[in-house]
Amino acid sequence: MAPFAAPQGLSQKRMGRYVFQRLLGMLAVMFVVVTIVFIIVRIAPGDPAAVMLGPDATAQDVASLRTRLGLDRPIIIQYGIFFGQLLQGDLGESIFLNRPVLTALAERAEPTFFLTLFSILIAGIIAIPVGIMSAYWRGSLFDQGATTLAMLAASIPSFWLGLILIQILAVRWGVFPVSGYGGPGASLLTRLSHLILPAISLGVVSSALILRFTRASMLDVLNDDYVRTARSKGMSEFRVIMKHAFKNALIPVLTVVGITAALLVSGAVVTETVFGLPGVGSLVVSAVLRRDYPVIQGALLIIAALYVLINFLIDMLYLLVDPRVRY
Amino acid sequence: MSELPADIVLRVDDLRTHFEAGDRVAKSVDGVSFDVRRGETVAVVGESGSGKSVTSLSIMRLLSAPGRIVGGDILYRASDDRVLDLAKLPEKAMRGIRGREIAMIFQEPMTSLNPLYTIGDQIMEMVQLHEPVSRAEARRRAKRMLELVEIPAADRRLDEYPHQMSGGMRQRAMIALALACNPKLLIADEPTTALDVTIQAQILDLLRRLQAEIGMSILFITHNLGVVAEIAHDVVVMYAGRVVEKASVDALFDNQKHPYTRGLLACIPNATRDRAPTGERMRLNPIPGSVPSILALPAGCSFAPRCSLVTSECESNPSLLVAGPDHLSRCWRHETL
Ligand SMILES: Nc1ncnc2c1ncn2[C@@H]1O[C@H](COP(=O)(O)OP(=O)(O)OP(=O)(O)O)[C@@H](O)[C@H]1O
Ligand SMILES: [Mg+2]
Repeated sequence: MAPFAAPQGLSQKRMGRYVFQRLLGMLAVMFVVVTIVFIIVRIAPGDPAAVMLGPDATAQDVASLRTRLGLDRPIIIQYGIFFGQLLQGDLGESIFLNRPVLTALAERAEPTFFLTLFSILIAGIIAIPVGIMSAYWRGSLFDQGATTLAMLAASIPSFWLGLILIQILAVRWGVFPVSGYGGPGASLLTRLSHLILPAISLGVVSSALILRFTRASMLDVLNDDYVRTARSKGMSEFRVIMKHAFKNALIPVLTVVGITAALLVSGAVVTETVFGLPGVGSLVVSAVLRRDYPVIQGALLIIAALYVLINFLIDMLYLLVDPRVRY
Repeated sequence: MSELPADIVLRVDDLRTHFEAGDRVAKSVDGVSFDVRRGETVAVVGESGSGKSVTSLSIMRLLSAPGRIVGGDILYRASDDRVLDLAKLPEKAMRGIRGREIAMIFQEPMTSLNPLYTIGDQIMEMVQLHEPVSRAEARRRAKRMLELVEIPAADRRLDEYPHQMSGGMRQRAMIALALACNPKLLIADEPTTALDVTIQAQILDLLRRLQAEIGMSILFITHNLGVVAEIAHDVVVMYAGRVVEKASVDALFDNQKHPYTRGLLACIPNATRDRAPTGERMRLNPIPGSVPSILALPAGCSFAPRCSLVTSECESNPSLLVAGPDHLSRCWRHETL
């Protein structure tokens, strides 16, 4: 039997409605996010133009920048313009980088994307099997060890783990590059090899949450009646656990994996700085330091959009895993 | 291996299943013995907590920790006529018994099927576990099983999920699943308790018909003696982990040789009295008191604290005494009953 059977034809209509509802919800959330980002950047203390130009700027410079940024218009008009540009995919111009915000972000997207992807894979690969075994052998030495390690992993900051890994694996043993992204013209493989240590440090730290959820969720289902039914059919214990128990336990775990992925994007800010990776995170850090408001605003929007998108993808996964959502 | 008369499919002999937690030992099943003959139904009756489920889970070896079989034999005559002691069979060999030789249905039709797989998938999985058949063949078999248990529109139902079916339909599907590999013995642990009376009668009818057609034996677990009269050949009455009375269904309904059985029988709503012209519903006569904790059983007869016939003799615990032809009772005073 296919573990993730394609939804049956009969339910196509209900599925369509479900997907449509989620899409609408996603748009509504994005609208709210855009508005909040707009407001936050506008109510930040001080005149952005003055802050950007620094204390030495003349009043004339400030005034002309205000006009260029459209800050002299009524707030509601600014909002309208902001929104209109957004709909055309225009996030504005960076003040210091001399290019559109979108371009600046796109240039930095690759390391952040792969860092997040690798981290979540590492977290999942550690946390899910260990969580399953912990629950299965509840109270055993294995369970106690895993739970303790998870607590430890959850309480160390990822940048600290990153520094330790750099110290041992990169500086002392020279197995991995210390920092950076391979320099200009580096091959994809070289670039990705620079992501291994940061991905491990982020992955290990976020595995703790996934592990705890997997364990709790498995404990919930292990005593369910259908698990006993599966055993009474005469199948192997491994199959009972994976096919019948874990698939049911997976539903809440999916949510946590999604939330973790979203948290990782924000966690990347610090890790990228520690490892000197030219990602979105370090772009945001430098933008904040230089008050590059359009870049900050653009990055906030993109990160929020990723959050929303991940949540949407989780909802779609639910659709695949749980027939009760489909019908 | 041990001797077993040819017409006996299952012999549970002095089965002891304990739950050990620290220094506290719950003797949930404490020396239970009974035989199940080929093609017949044995009912195990008793109030909640008397050890019925633990007995059946022991036979299937599906006890959850800290439950453990600590003594006794579970002799089973397999299809190839070998006699196996299930109490000591290695887990791997046990997997070939479960589903294929002995199948089980449970009390809760709402939760006993996996919500994430279709009914068809769950039946096909059972078939393909034990027989080297193709998916298409397994599906044909699954459909035939649904027809056997009288589920209408079997072809469509195969692709439905449990939550799309009613409780009665799910219990039928569960029976179809259990019978998919033609087991010789079906253990039914309160299969009708969660269903309303009409559906309950339909399921009992179905089981009786299937038994006649397939010739399987049934171990039927219930706390309702009324159901027993309809389906069983022999009855085993359990109380606090022990058998207190054992007889053929006729002998038992004719003359109960244990005050506990007598009490259980008084609890059955009587259909004719139930619809008395006065409109007054009949009052049940429950046995006063409740089942003692198996962690703190009284020294003598464990039923003594609730028994109206109690004498000083009852301070020591009787063994199963012969109370008639094929009739055993664990009561000192069975002759007066
Ligand atoms: N996992 C367990 N741990 C400890 N004790 C248990 C466990 N399972 C069952 N028992 C004990 O075994 C005794 C018998 O339980 P069992 O489930 O067999 O009763 P039953 O006759 O099936 O009752 P019911 O009619 O409620 O299903 C109970 O007293 C119960 O406390
Ligand atoms: Mg029970």
